Amino acid sequence: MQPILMKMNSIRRFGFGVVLLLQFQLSLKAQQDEKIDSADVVDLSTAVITGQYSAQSIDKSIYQIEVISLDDIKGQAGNSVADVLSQTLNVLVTPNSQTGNSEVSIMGLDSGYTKVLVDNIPLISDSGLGTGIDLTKINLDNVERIEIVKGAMGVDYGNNALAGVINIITKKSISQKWKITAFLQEETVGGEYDWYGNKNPTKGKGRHIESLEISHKISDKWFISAGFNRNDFQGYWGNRKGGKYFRQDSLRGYEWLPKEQINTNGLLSYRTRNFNAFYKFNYLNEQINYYDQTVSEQPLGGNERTFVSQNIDYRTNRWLHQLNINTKLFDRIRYIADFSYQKQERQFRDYLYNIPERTDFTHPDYSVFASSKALYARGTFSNFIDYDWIDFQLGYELDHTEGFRSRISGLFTKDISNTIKNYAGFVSAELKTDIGLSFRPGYRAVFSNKFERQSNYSLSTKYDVSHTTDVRLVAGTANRYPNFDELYTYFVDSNHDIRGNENLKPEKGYSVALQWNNKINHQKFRMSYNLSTIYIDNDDRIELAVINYSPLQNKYINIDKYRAWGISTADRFIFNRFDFSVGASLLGVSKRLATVMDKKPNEDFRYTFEANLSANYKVPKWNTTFSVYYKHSGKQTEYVLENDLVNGPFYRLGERGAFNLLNFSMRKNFFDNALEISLGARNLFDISSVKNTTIASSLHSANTGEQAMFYGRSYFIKLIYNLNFK
Amino acid sequence: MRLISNIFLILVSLSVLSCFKEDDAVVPILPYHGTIMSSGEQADPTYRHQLWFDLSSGTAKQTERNVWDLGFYSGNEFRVILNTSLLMAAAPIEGVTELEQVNSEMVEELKNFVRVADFNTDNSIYVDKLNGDYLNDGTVIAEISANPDENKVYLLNLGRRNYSGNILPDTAYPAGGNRGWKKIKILREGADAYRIQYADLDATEHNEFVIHKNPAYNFVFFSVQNEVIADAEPLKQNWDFCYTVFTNVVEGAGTYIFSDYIMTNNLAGVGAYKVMVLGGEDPELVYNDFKKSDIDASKFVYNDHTIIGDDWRDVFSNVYGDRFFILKNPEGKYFKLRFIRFKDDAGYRGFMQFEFTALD
Repeated sequence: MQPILMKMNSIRRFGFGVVLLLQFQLSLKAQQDEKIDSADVVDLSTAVITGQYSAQSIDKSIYQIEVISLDDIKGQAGNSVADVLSQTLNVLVTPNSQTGNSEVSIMGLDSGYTKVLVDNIPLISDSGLGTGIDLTKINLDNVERIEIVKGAMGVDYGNNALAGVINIITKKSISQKWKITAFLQEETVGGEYDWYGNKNPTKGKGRHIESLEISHKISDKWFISAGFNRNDFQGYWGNRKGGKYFRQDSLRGYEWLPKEQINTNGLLSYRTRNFNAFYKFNYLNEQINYYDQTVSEQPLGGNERTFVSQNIDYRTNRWLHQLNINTKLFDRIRYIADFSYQKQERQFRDYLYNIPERTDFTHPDYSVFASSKALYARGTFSNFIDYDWIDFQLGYELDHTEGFRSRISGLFTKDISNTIKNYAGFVSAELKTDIGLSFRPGYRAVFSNKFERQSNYSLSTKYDVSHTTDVRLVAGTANRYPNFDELYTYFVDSNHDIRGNENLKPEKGYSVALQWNNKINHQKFRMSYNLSTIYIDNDDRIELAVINYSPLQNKYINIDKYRAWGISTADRFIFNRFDFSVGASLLGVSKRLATVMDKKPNEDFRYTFEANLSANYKVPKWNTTFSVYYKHSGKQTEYVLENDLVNGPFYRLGERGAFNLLNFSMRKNFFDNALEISLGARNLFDISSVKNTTIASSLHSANTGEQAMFYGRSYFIKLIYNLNFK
Repeated sequence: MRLISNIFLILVSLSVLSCFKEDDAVVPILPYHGTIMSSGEQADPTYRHQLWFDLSSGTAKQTERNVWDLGFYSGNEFRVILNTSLLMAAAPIEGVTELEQVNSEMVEELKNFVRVADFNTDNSIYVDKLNGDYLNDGTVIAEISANPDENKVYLLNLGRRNYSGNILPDTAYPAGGNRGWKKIKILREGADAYRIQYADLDATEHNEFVIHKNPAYNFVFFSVQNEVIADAEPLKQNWDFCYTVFTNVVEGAGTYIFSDYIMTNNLAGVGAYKVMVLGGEDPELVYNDFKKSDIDASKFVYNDHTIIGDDWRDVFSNVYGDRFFILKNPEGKYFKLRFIRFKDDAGYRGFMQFEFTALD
């Protein structure tokens, strides 16, 4: 025990958190960089906050929290949260080549079952607060770490937190007086790259990112920072020929649509001993350009002609304001409060483009097709009494979310506005015994203007077997609210009859997880092991079901059931400057699907295997770190309902093929860390599409069986310039 | 580490030097050199008309597609065709010899099969032969026999009405509600006429109409619904192809409704073939340069009226830019033609334009 305690103390002395499991590498680095960073280490960067009463160390947390650290983020040089999350086991990030969005699914449950938080508050999207989030809309510039908790967290985070919670934590302070960070990142998109194009630098093919962040510590109390990031993705051409091409062979346009994002953020923070507060602002502007593949010849009168096609410009604006207060009331009770106002507006304009003339035929204004606005408040009170063995937390969460969909989005016959108001109160207690056993029961009640009162329960137990071994048993419930489409879709014409259902109930769900952690420490050699198993049950699932066959009518109803059972291991070995992690998981999913005309697939658990591996090696002489990240996603099968109009509907076993992702990078610091260069390659196996027959075919789009998930092997270089002064 | 710096320097210099592939320069397009014809003044997404184009005169005759149900062949043979543009279907009713023996209850089950575009892969037996080779046993109604007893009673599905309802761009509306059912029996009337007996399914009496062949036309058209001879096809020498809704047969899906279909006048000897433009060649230039001496007479297809068919466009809104067609008219004159579009400026379907040039 002695060496470990000593180690613990030395780590504490340098102020670097406590977390042996994930932070060894940082602590090593801290010792090496002690002179530079000594002032930086007082913050709580190595602590976690997801599901905690207040920030605390990861191995004291009653929940099993996976952390994607700053080193992991740097090692992957990702350009959005989507890039770094895809490495995590049982987390599948699925990009869409047409919308450019990337949504996450955890344990096979889609993004509607995962709550995405930024600094502990849910982020706005088309589908509401915290759900259905496009991860490419969250950039990594000021992200310090990402915390992931798998399993239902309904008591702590409310509706839709069933498969898990992803909490993106941003930086709140610096050690120096001034810090200016500027970087330039150039990436190939597959093999495509052109720095200089269209008579305009950085308008060529590829991805071009520029970023600037300025932070200033005004005084011991006040801190301010501002940042700007432009991420210019010029699209993936692949076999297509771009927007200026005008031959009538369906090759116009892009395989992945060009997309440009501008992200601006600001932070003002105030800290004293008993009162901390920050105000954060974020503005995102995203532009996506669609170029129709259909080119039409247009006679212009006389003998003249030209070729025209449709262009659509999509624009998204998102504003986020957050005020966070962390204080002690009556010198005793810890009160943590967040207030937030968020708005997302999505617009488009659709016009005919005269391709050879390079002019627009029509100049329509942008019109709004979807928007959402949310007013949000969350607060927790804890530390009521001065006992070590018991603490409890009282909390509230309120939100007013206003959604709007225009009829031009196609699924509704009229403009639809919908306001959901939720008022939630939650309470939990944390009991610690002196034999290393602690409990946390919790309860949340949610009152809403749309749905019946929902109750969520949780009971977490943690047992510290020894200083190096602990076991957690975590159980909780969560609901999923029906989304906009499910409630309000009305798409009825001569060939279709698809209807939403305003009487849908929230889906129910619960999860139970058992987690075992163990670590071994020697002077130069450290290991940590985790073995986890989790069961998730989701009932009253909403499905677009066929309610009539002749004529064909579809309606959303609460009908299906989903169960997932998984076992996984995550292990880490650190030896000298070599840091190696390996993980594996087996996930079984069982679905009870609607019986359609006496046909019903069996409910066997269908298993998927995943494995990941990462390795970091630092060569001090060169001041260079080499990183490798690998993830294997195994074959996945599920039943798909096909509507065969001749022989009637039937269930078919669809399959998503296995695929492997391998990323490599090296980064080196120059001039006393003022300059940092990262070089690397993503998707070294050069994968672009993955076999996928889990999508039902429709009349005009036969299922090709291939899903464009990636655009092949890409290379990147990132130049970071850091300027610090006192 | 010098290596890395060098690599970086090389990368930077390369990227600065690399040239751009795409620019905003205007690209000139060759003007038309032929004549442009359209399917009408404006788009008709419901396809109410059939258009019979005559390239030698540069004219088109427009007739409403629902004015006729059956076409009676005017040549030597006694053949009757269904109106493909109305999505009609027919089947013999077995075990009966007279219309009065048939009622709707009796054909209840048969009615479930005698339909177009119901995704029954075997339903093409209820329509005329796709390629229009009618005289070689290509009609669903068997050749009308001189022996009256050999002519069967047929269940006739009158197909679909014109669509009436909301119309959106980019969408074809070739079919509305059902036109209903008839029972018919057709006999020869002397050497050059037909006698048709027809009635509603439950009628206990039938009407009759005598239809005389007219050798100047391929067919004489009759409307069972309106009980009149209808004016549809022009004189058989006076049209080359028809722009129409068409009952197509799709491999694996049975009969299927196609709009914007080109049906050539093969009964009057029209032949056609397709010329493909190779990748990298400018399609407008290749078309403009095509001369009479470039014609390959061996390629003409005369026995299939779907030879142009839908081969000039895809199922959405694309005209294939990589091809044009060579056509030989009933008088043996040659033309080249290329399709321009089948949507109007606002994107509504049913506005077909093509360019053609006589090859002399």
